[in-house]
Amino acid sequence: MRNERFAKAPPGEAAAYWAKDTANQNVGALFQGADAALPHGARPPRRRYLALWFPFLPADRLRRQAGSAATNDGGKIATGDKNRQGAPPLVFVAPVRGAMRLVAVSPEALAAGLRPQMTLADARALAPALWVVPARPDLDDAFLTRLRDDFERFTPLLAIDPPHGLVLDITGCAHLAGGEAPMAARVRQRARAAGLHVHCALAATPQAARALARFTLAAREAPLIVPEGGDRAATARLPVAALELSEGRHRTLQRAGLKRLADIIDRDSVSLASRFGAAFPARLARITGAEDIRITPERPAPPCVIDRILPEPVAREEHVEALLAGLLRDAAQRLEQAGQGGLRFTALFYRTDGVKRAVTVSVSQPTRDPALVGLLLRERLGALDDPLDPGFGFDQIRLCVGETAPLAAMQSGLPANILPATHILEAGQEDINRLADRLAARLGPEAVLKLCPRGSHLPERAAVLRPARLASAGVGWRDLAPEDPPARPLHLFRTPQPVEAMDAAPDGYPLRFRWRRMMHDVAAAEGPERLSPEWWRTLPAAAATPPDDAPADDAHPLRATRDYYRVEDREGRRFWLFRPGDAGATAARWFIHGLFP
Amino acid sequence: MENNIASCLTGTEPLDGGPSARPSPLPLRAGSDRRPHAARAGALARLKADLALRVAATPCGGADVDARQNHPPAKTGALFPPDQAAGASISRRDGHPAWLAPGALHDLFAGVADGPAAHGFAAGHAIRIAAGRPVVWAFHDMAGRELGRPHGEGLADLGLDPDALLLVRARTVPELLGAAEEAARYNAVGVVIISAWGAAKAFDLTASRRLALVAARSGVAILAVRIAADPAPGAAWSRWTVRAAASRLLEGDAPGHPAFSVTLLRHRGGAAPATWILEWDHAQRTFREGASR
Repeated sequence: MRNERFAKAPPGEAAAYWAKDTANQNVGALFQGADAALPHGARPPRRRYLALWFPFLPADRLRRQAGSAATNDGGKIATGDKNRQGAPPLVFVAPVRGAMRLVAVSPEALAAGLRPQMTLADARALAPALWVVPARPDLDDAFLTRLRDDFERFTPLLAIDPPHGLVLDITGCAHLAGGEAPMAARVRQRARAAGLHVHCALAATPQAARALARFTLAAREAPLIVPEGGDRAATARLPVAALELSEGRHRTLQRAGLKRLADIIDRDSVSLASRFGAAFPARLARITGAEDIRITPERPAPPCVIDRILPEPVAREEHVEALLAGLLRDAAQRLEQAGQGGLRFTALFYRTDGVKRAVTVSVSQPTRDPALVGLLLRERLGALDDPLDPGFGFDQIRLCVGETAPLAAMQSGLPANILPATHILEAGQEDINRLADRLAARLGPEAVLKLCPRGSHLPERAAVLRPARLASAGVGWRDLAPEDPPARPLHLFRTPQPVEAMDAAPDGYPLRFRWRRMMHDVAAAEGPERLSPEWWRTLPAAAATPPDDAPADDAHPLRATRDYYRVEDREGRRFWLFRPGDAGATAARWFIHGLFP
Repeated sequence: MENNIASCLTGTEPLDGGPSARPSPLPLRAGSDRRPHAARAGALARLKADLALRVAATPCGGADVDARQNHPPAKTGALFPPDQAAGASISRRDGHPAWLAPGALHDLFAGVADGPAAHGFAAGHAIRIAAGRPVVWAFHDMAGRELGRPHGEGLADLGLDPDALLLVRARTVPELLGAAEEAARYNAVGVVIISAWGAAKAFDLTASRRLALVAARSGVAILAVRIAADPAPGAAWSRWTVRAAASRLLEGDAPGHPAFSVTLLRHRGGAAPATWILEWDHAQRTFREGASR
């Protein structure tokens, strides 16, 4: 089962500011950097949570699948409510303590008197025509995750509330739908349209919303909305089962005649704690709305989120681009107010049929230039392997700025010729970063590389290629004496290429060698330059290396000590040859490691 | 025309004997009628020296800043005394066609085995033209597989600062050309090197013309190294074949500085086809005419 997804909020003032700030931004957007601007002692506003419970989630999932399969075959089974009356009772079974028991049922099965935890034999006795399906909690979880992704369109702060539920933190989001009631209605409508039975309730704490959604019948027909401050009264009518205590404690409460929360709500918390455990009063307080702890959303909310909710789905490319441009302008404004620049921009496209596509671009320097980011997004969209398919259109487009960094406001439109020279150089560097970003958006970040030096005498380790975005200045590059010719090749093979060497000269290098079926006569050579492996890196493998006089392992000529020669053939081509192993080795093998210009 | 103006400005126009004092294989410009008066030449030379200092003081002042720094204007006489002719540096001031000009596309063709030589020749020009500005090297994956990847230490040994190099890997030639064109639009870039492998259909006249136009507009030099491709017509300012040449050996028969045998096939400036042996001097950042052994 999943872990408890409700976690305590961080203590102290930071949490209060966090909450306050989140509420102030309209779609849960927050800037940590702006926290300090809030006045001390400000009380955070009450939060609002919408709990959804899908009581027949497995059955609904199966019907959706059967429905979509049947529609493809010609539509024998329809998923509409009217046709459900004739369907056989559907139950999901799993072995529990050695017996097949029901773990979930369909509405028809419920109507036939079947309940979860009944044995399958009892169920068959009650309803002979039974459709029995093995329970698949993994598929249910996957479906719930998809639902969560889809419901992210309403609020960025939402979490799965096991079993078979979701909690949406709609604080500060409700006005986007025109108020709390229309928002709840929209959420419910979305779930109903997906073919799901849903109970929903809106309250001031996640636990209260959850209890109301799961333990009141009123939440079934329409969203149950508890007005602000009415939590205590609304939850007082709930049965004590809403506390979701263990079997034994629940029975104890029942025996004591405490049937509803109203019966215990006013009792002394000390005596309750001594009777039902230390956690009991806190649990009660949370359900009755006296204590608020936040949900832990699946993903932390990005620093800046901007939405376009569309009354009509859009499918045309130019409309999507225009919407994106508008979103980017808004984001730029908001980032500028916060003195920040974005490093990662994600555009999320919500399709009417619940599919979500995300496209992300990264930049190397913080920016908030809408034209630049728009260009990068267009490049990325153009380079997608499977193009963005609008289907029947997108009904919501969202822009998230995933990562930000401080970026000072800049004077725009200053002519370059009155800037000092250092600014021109900086502008040049900015251009290069921009170019790298564009090329990375088009070809992929691993295609735009920079050479980074590393402090090693081994050629294959001395210079590494890293994506330009991640490149960092390390140790400097080597300096060559003016009169010396290059000592390292221009091209280096990742895997040294074996050559067939003949006629060893007295100095040890071959006088002729064959590489790639071409014979090369050596005209000049310089060497050997001996490079030993870095023992401090290869120490663990040292035990496995063969003795010195044996030739090194064919696959790993780079593991051995190497003698390098710069060799020039009669045509003037220059090679970097090496021989692994000790000079005294009987059968010397030769490799080309690089090519000189 | 450009060469004439450059030489007038630098005041290095030989006053006596003219071009005949120069080593012969260089195609000569016809510019003797523009010889300035001696007094004016002196004033110009002073102005020019002053200007060179000022330009050198700005970080990206011009394409041939290094050339000016390395070759202070001579007062009188031929640029290269006859006794140094064998190792004389070729330069823009000679109007040497092998002194590739910025703001243009240059095609460098090479056989499979001469790929490193072509890259070395291109790298030398990139160092010279970029003069500290970034160099973008668009690399065909195929070339990387066949020749090995560019090596940072080797580039540093040639004199190209690897920190100023942006490598772009492209799987296909259209990707490669697109990336190069994109890079050449930025005039903060000094030089764009393209390494293409094989005779690619995508590298046709249209592609070549596009690159040439972009280069002319932004002033960026594009050096298109075409390995394992036969020389083909294109819109390039100059077209070359590059082969490795035997180097001048150092003591103890050690291979010397990189040497190239470059053949000019076509030059839009009108230079006649010819072959030179050039040697790269990484300390002076210049090509010298080398004698093959």
